[in-house]
Amino acid sequence: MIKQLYKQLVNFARRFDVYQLLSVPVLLIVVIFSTEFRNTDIKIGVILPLSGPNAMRAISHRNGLDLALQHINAQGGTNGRKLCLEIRDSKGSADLCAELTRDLIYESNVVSLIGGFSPAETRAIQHISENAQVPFLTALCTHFEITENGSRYTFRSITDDRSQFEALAEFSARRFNSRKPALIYDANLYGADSAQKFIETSIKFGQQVCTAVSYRPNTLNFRRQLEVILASNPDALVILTPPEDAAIITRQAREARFLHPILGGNQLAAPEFTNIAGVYSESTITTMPFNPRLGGQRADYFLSEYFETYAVQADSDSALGYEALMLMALTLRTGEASRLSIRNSLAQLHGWESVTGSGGFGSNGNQVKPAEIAIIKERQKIPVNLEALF
Amino acid sequence: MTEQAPTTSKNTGGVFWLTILIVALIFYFINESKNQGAPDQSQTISQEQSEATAAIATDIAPRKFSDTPSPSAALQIPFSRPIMTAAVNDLLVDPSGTVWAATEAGITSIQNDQVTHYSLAMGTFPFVQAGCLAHDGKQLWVGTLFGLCVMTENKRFVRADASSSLPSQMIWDLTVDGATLWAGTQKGAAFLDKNGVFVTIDETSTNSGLRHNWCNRIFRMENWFVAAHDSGISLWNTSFPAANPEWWKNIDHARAGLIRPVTDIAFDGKFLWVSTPRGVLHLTTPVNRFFSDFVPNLVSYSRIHGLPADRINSIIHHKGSLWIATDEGLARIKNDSIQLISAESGNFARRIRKLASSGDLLWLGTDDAVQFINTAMVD
Repeated sequence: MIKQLYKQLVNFARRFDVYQLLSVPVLLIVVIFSTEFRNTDIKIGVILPLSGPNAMRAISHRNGLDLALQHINAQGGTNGRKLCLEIRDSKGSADLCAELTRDLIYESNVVSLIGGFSPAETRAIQHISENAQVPFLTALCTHFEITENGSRYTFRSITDDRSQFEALAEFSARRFNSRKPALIYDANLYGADSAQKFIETSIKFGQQVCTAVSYRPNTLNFRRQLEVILASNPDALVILTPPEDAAIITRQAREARFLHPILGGNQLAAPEFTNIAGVYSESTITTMPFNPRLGGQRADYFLSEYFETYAVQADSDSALGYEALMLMALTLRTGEASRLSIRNSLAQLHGWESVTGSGGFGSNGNQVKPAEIAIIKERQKIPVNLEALF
Repeated sequence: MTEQAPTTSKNTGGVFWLTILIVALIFYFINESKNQGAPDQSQTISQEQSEATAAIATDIAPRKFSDTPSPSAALQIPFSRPIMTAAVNDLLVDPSGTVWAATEAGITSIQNDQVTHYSLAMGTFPFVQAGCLAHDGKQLWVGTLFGLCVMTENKRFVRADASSSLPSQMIWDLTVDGATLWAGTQKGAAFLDKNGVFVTIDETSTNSGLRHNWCNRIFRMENWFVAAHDSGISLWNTSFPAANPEWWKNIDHARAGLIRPVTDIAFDGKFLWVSTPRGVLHLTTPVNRFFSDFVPNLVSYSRIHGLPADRINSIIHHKGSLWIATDEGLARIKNDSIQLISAESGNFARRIRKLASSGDLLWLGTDDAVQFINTAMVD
């Protein structure tokens, strides 16, 4: 049987010349090498500290991005092309962040970048992306300098420290008649320049910061810093630190019978703050990057989908992650999937409606939405304009 | 009849398959030509040079620092026709007069009327981008985010053997002091010793004399080594050991109001100048008094003083003037006066990323081209 089949095959082959037989593999080779077998997905790079001290917030942000990705791709992607996230863990290291940015831009050929957490990490991403002309959107880094350095490809969808400081200073001056706040700040997430910025901002609202103290990383006992603060007899305490440190400082300040208001930036809105500070977080004033009431039905849908997917409540970091990818998808929908086109589309996004409410980029790529103030009551963040209802 | 049929089909089949093969080859070559998106290997620039030298400048009075800026006050001079490249990261004119541009796509050289592109796609450059350039009098060195390259005697770019001894393969800046090559990397600065090995200068080895390892700009002047990094600027007197932090002077970014990143550094023979995203900063302590009376006091010149923009991308000292490249064009500081420079006609990208000088020519690297002006026309 096999012999017969072989004979038939030989007879069939004999009908052709050598060049005819050779032309088939040649044709196949030419077609294979000529056709671009590339993936048509639009690749977006994500760099977050998914391990290390800020991992919980970064993971929450990534979950928001992933949920947005699912929603976008379930709708068929943008302009018929699916989105693909190239997620990298910076481990909280600016050096590693720089290397990951380089690899994503030059090797993975991503069309844009999302991420950054600490100012150092964000600056590393920004520096390379600006040189390589790749649009970069951060939804976590609030350091004012990021969008004040003449960058053209950097955008920020979270309200920055400058707006947050203005809102905090104004609220504390108006509500508590605070004139002499004290300030405690960390060296990594905020730094001396942010402290200086708060001091300058508070002057505009008739305040004079009576003392500003910093501390070494991994400090657990803030007694010395609190002694310095209490000695200056402040009428409010502003905490510009990561949420875990802020929780410990709040506990220790209250235990030291500091009875005046305690205020802080968006770090205090993180769940870690209320989890660690417990009852001591009561009546703390914070900025609120995500108010579901402002997002309306979009926010309701996001919250329910998030809970269904991850079995935990969404927080501000996840909402900002969701919003960040939705903004990228919006820019991709309006133009082609090129770096310059995305950058130009982002620059023209002066207004949008998303899960966090209305927003828009200013001429420097910064979020123009003013910061919203919330008060923590029974571990819940209540917008101050709704405080009377609770 | 039955035996003739295969012969006929054999012939017609041969023609058919030959036709397919030809069509496939045509398809292949068309596709290949499409993939060759890189610019031509060479193009002439003699026309631009003749245009530049033939034109006449329209002189206007320069403005003092305190004058209000006005676009109409710009001095109009001819700019050469742009030589198209990828976004320019660095420019260098070597001793033979060849202009080298490190770009986001590799290297471009301009020699007489020949423009040559070296890139990874063409197989003539080992990395996908080039960030900085230096020439030690013998060899051209290229710093990239993937390692250090050197141009060999047979005009080929290869990865330098010394690259492995760098503290990081992410090279941000290169400079040459006489015959010594210095590199600023993501994890510290380094200089090339006589054995061809880089000696690292970082936070640890200097006992925090160098305040941050990410040295994105480095500079050599007299006996000082300057490194601009993420915490400000560190200056080391190279006559003394780097390990002793006493021989280091530091300018803290928060205290001095220094906006990061420092984009370029220049020395006018007496003072140090740095360009930043918020203007040009002038260190008021003369360099010859760094050792005894160093005061980290910076005076800023920005848009409100008459510069075309706040974002300064490059600064260079050339023939008694400071030339400043901004996002909105070119300016010159001479005798405490700011002079805006604009193109008399033709193409001119306002966003200038890098400057280099050679003779009377000032070379400008932009987002997509290299151009030059004749500085003699400004005077």
